[in-house]
Amino acid sequence: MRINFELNGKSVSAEVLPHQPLRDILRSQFDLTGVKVGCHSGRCGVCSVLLDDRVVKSCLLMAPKANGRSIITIEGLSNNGELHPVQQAFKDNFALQCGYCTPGFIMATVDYLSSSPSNPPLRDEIKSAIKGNVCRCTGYEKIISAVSSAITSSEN
Amino acid sequence: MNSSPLQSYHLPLDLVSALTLLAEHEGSAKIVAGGQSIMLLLRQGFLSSETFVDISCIPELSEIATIDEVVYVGAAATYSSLESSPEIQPYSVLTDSLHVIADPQIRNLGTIGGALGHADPSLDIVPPLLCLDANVVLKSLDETRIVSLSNFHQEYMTADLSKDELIHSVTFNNLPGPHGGAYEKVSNVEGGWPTVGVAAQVVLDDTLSIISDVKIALAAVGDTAIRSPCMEKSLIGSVISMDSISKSSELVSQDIDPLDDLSGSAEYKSHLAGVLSKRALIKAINRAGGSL
Repeated sequence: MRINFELNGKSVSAEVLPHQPLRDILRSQFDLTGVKVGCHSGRCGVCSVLLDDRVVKSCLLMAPKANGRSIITIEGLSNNGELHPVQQAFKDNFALQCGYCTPGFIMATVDYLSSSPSNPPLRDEIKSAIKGNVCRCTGYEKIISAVSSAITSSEN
Repeated sequence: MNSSPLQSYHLPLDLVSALTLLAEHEGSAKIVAGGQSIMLLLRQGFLSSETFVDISCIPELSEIATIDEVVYVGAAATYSSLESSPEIQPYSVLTDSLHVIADPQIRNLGTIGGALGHADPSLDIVPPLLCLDANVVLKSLDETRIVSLSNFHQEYMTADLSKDELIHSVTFNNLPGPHGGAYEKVSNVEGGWPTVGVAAQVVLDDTLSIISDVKIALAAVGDTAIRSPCMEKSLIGSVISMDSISKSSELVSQDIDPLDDLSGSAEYKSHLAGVLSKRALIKAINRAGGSL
């Protein structure tokens, strides 16, 4: 079936099978390889994208569900080469090691920032917001610092 | 992934269209709400279907409202929309559970109707709804049925749902008197399935010293989520005391039948059920205004 949706701000169209995950369409038809492949079962969060501005795991998103909706991937966050504030916060805080999980963490953080997080930031609240994402380099402390600084600087 | 070109995916915009599709396909169509369980079942080969009817674009099915003292939640309402809904905030037994279901990504797509249709005994949302005496409203083209949630889950992963029916909504009544609820769970990983989950809902008398009604329900301790009548009976009408709570929590093991599995032994789960029942009950009583 053919679906039409908005992808990183542009209207696009794709031929999909009903139970294909959107992740595979984004990677194979649109070359958006910032949408990573990990556990294939909704546990690791590396395939996270925004569906109508809310974070979802694209391995669990049946592709037809994107019809008529807006999808934003990590590739759609920067503006004219300028990093999104959340990307900048991850960079400034060295919140990555191998980097494979980073796009997923950033998408989860973008959603969290849009939902009026506590400011000053609350550590437990941040942990709840990113608990759908796994980092296997064991770098959570710096990720939490990055999320925290993204919250603080969003108020300025 | 093997996919037949015959597969079709429908996104009806109103209830009658969805029910017509179910009737036309004579039971072969699979209903999709958030898709968070069905995607895994399809991928693992436990399920195959050539026709999918996605109910997430039907506005009526995403509504959350309180009408004449009855809280009404549409089947396609997501966990996230429930978490932020003012209608749901008075029911801490539900909000506790919503906060510990999986993670934000899953809660943004997963729905209450999808969970009830899936009928997994480990779902966190079911014990709180059992405590609220929820009803499930089922619709087909010909009929509307209202089934008590305690009868809806008949056995392991089996719900009282005909192939031409869909879950329309879940309803429960406002609670009279000072009330409070809580949900407590233990799982192997943060956001994981519960090893055991326990919901408690209490109603106190006007003096806030006597338990006039109490409901306790558990997840992951048998073929379906269940209430604990032994524990409830021992508490109804009793004066609030730590002693009576401790004693009643020991009775919960009489009502459950956990299995040994990867999340823990049956013996451990029985022990955990007692510990979590006590914790949930204490929290529920405190929230209702009682003191311990």
